[in-house]
Amino acid sequence: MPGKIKILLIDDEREFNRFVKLNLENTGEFEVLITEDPIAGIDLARRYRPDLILLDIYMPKLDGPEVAENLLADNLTRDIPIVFLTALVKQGELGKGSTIAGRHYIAKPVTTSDLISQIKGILKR
Amino acid sequence: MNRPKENRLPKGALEEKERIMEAVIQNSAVAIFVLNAQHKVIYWNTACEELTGCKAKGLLGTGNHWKAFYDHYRPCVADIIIDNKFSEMPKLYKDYSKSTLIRNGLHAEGWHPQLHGKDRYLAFEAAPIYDADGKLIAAVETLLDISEFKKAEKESQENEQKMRAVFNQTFQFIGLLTLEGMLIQVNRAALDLIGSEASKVLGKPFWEAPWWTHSPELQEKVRQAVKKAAGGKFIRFEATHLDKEGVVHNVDFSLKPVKDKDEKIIFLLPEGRDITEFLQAERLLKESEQDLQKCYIEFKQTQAELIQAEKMAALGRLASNLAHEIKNPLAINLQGLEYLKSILPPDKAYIDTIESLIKSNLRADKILKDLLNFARPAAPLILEEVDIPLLINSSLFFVDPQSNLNNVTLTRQFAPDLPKVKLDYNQMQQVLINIFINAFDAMPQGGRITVTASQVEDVLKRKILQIVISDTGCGIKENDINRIFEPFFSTKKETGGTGLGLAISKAIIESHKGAIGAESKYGEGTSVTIDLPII
Repeated sequence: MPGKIKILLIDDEREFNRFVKLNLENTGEFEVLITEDPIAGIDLARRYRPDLILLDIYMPKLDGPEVAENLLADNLTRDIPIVFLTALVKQGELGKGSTIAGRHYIAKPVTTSDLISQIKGILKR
Repeated sequence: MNRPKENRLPKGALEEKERIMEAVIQNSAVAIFVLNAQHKVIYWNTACEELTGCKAKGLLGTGNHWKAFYDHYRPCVADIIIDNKFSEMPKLYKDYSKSTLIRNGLHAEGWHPQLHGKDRYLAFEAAPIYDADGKLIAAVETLLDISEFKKAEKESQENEQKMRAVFNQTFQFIGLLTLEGMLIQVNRAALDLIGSEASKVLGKPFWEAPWWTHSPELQEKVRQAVKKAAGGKFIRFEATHLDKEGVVHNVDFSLKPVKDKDEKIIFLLPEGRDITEFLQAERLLKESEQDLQKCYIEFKQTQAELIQAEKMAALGRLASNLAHEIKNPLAINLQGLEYLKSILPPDKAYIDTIESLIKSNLRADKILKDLLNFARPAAPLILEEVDIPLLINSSLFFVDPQSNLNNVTLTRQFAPDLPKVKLDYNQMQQVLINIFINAFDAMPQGGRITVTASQVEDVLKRKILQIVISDTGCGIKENDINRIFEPFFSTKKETGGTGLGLAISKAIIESHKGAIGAESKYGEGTSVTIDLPII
């Protein structure tokens, strides 16, 4: 489906993934792939080449930063922007589209409208 | 020429008189001997024998009388009189004088070791005897053993010397007054203190002496004390003396009546004990005690802070875990609710229900954020010089809309020339907003909020910036006032208070090395005071 923004969401919360996919795709502007398995996520990124990857930080097997390391080490995926989703942030630490040390963060829970505006903001840069 | 009467007596009468004279000499209790003009012993009475241990028999008619007193020849006082060689006296006697009793007589005295088995102090009194023509024909010498008197006199002198030594060597200030208060004796210590001499102070009224002249009140007190002591009372009070360098000495002063053996008051005895060092030591001891008390309080505070820090660390870990565990389901809920909202028919009842659920979800998230914020105190302070009126006004700006709504009057009183203070602007704004919101919430029917900012001194006399925010609201109950800075303590639970606002505010103020406190009267209002160091 040309013209749609391709998003890969890697998060071990199956229901979160499902609702984010439904909400984003509901707008007609996004195509969202989801996985709870970080290793499968790396493989999907190589094959699917999304416009942006939403990546949970705390996951079993492989955590978010380790997944990011793998993606950055691979020529096929190194240029795909990664946005970390995190529950562990303090008030005021993250504004909209926060960037810490070159990484993008979005605080959970997040409303769909906030999520969309932040994704678009990052892709514009 | 008048001839002596006895020469006209008949011969028998003369002989009798001579016998009587001989008997008088012989039986006198006083030791007497008589030498003729040729220095031969013509009388040596019994008392003389007893005193010297030398019998008359061996001496009469000889010139050996000196042997009774000395182990080598030397003239006795009677010999000097016979020879009229008064100039010899100084060589022979330390103590001698012309007799006060007999004309042309001589007096001498001295120690005679082991005279008839005893050390004796003898007083010699010798006088010339003239014939009818005034020619010296003999000399009479009396001897008195005054050893006991001399010993007593010596002891008395030694005692007086000892007493005087004590009087002058003691560190106490001592004197002696007449009953009228004239100073008649004063010891060295008292004179040394004022750098004066006895001659300059003796004979003066005591209260006019230099120990008292620095204070007319003390002079009057001493004058009254003299009157009372002369009446038999013992007076004691604490006084001050100025020494020769003008240094003040604290003195424990007393004035005692001195009585004779008949209980009659004869003198007054003033005494002063320098207690300056004692008072200093006492003061130092008190200060040490206070320091110790302060240390103890600080120790208890530190202990309490450590316990609190330990609790906070535990709370921090708990909060982090909680946030992670709860925020993920919240994230699912939020996304799920938004999905439901997008697929359900646009029925108002559905929409309202889902909106309400979304709001609850976001509120739960806010509570978690506050908890995290409190449990993991804010990021390092970003200190900048802050204009205090600007900080307060910008914080009020956020809550101002509420003032119109609630019919609240705002009064600002900022002292001119407030010092610039280095603060984290955003964090301080958060503190002020928290306090303003509490004030508004306390006055649903309206009222007044007064904000003052001024430079004051704290208990340690350090200059600090003080901000006071007072309201005329419902106030806080006495039991609650000490708990309002505790985490999760809220008087507004039913209206959505998390009980973390003031706890976070306290943490922020303390990270600025400041202090925050509150006073309140239930039903009348609350006043929150923030003290900040001026950096």
